[in-house]
Amino acid sequence: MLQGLHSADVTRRDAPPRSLLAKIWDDHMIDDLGGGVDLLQVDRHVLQEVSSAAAFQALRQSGRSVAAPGQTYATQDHILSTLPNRTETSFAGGVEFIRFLRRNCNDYGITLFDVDDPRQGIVHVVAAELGIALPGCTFVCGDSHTATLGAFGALSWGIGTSEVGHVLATQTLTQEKPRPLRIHIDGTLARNVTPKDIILRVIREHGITAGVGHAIEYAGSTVTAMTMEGRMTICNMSIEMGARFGFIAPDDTTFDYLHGRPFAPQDRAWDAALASWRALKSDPGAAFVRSLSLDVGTLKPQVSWGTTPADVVDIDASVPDLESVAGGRREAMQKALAYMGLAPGQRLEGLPVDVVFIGSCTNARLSDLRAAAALIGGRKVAPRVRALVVPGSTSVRRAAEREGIDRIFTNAGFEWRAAGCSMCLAINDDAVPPGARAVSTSNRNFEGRQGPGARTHLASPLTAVASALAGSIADPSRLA
Amino acid sequence: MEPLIELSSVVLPLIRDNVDTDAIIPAAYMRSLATDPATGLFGRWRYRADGSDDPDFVLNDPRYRGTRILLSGANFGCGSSRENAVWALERYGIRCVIALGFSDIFHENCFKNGVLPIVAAPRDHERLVQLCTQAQPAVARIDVKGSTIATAGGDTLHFDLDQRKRALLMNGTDEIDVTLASGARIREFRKRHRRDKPWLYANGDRQ
Ligand code: SF4
Repeated sequence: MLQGLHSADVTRRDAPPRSLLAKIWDDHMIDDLGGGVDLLQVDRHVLQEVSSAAAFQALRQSGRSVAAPGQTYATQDHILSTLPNRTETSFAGGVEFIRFLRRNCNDYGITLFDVDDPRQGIVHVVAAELGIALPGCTFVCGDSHTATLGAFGALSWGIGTSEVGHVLATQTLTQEKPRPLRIHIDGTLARNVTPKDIILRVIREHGITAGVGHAIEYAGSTVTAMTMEGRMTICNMSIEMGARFGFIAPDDTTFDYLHGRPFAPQDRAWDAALASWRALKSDPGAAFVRSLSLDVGTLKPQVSWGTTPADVVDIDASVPDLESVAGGRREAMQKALAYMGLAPGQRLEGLPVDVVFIGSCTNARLSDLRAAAALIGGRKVAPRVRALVVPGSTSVRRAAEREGIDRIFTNAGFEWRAAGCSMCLAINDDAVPPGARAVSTSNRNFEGRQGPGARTHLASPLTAVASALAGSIADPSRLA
Repeated sequence: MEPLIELSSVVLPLIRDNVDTDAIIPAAYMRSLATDPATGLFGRWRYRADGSDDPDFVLNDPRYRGTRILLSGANFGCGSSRENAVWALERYGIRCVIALGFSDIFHENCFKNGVLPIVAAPRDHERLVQLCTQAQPAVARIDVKGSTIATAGGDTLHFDLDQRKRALLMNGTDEIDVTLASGARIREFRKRHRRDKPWLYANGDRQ
């Protein structure tokens, strides 16, 4: 089985064309376990304090050890407080997880980006900026948005806690092979329209189950022209379409981003890696089970109205009419609207908001914060609105502070917080109050996701800023 | 993991699509390792604001007490990868979820915890919904080996279950043990892979 495989970067003339998915998969396949399941080598495993805890408990109980601590990294992000001068005890409810992760990393020799480490931040943000995620690698983390790192041309996916335990103990994973799906994105984005709007539009069009069992390769001229940070926003939300995997073939944009990052290969190792990475693309004629496309030339800012990430419309549009949805969906839609405090046909623009959250691994990188701050133009957050900016990592926070971005936000009335997941999942004390309406740059608008009774409208950082200033859902292009 | 061979109980109907893992167990019930995940099962739907049981939620209906089988709609377990969702079901006593479909991560997490996720064909699903939402609760018997759901009404419905996964459930196998048993093969692979792609092993500023 092993000997028969050829490595990803050797294209044999007689070999059938392969997709990028197949190339990376084959390069990591240790064994065929039957039933479409393979045993894969894991190159990079990143841990966070919450989903790793029970895995370490089980590891300790079984007396097993960590197989490859050098390929394992950890960060504190999910339950850690985001108060500006936080310590590990600022959110008392999280201390148990924070200390346990620290103890585990100490005992097993795992590199940890701890509470006060300048490298700390949201797992998918730090794995990118530190050069941990590399083209062609397999990358896993106990968080469903791990496909974010697929932006580097990595095979990167979110796993459960038992799987975290499996990787810790073996540095491998049993995984069902997904089917390759390609989405072509073409066209030039209008001003104030962002990668977040693109991915919301894709999910809106294809629905939240289109990606189940699939790995999505994003391609097309828009993707090629996009920065790494934009690509990460796109790949990040693959799971909201049901796809565990989402990725983009690496190119010079990827290599330029990675060059010189702390954990990226250096010097001669870099040259060797680069030569191999250049072969990481789907061959012409490679088979995809589906190919979808989207032209984004006329795309408008997108905003969600309901309780799934496919419940999305153009910002200047209204909540759909009940008649426009199929019979079976109608009841679910009524439930969603009742939860959201909205009526069919209601306009979203102008709807008063209580909370604006700029943060999460979807949209809290430096470019997101720069663009958001640039839109403020000396205006103030509307009275009554609680607006907060939670940088994706401590290094994003420090970089923004060096550029004076923190002051632009705080002068306008935004809170400037410490890095972490925060209101994306509301497992610490950052929550949207019951019944309150939030515009959020995160990725999930499920019932109660941002706190019990919270009403979430997903949008881009620009729409979030415009809404904070207007005090209601607002189109960034029509800022008064 | 407790082996799962057969299962017989009243079927709890929670007929809605896209029941996400935030709904199966809200984050607030995940703040301590000591919390019994079963108390958080459907935490937002099951309790009233004062913390008492909401009698309108189906889980609190005494007719379904002791249920081990849950029937839901499409795309069950979507969203967050939190395995706590499966732990909550399993600790509560639910060892089988029948749905029109599952999210990939939830589906995988089930098998790691001895819970059987059954993808029902649309026609079978319709039949089960009809049976299980009557005034009189319906009882079903799941046979893991034969891949069948037998209802008290006399229906026998078949479901697909991959052989390897069936064995995992029926033997209560710990997959880590199985993988560790291929240690030599893994080491051999890593040796070759390391030679091909050393940068994946000797990274930047590691010890
Ligand atoms: S910001 Fe949200 S989605 Fe991202 S890693 Fe944290 S909890 Fe997961």
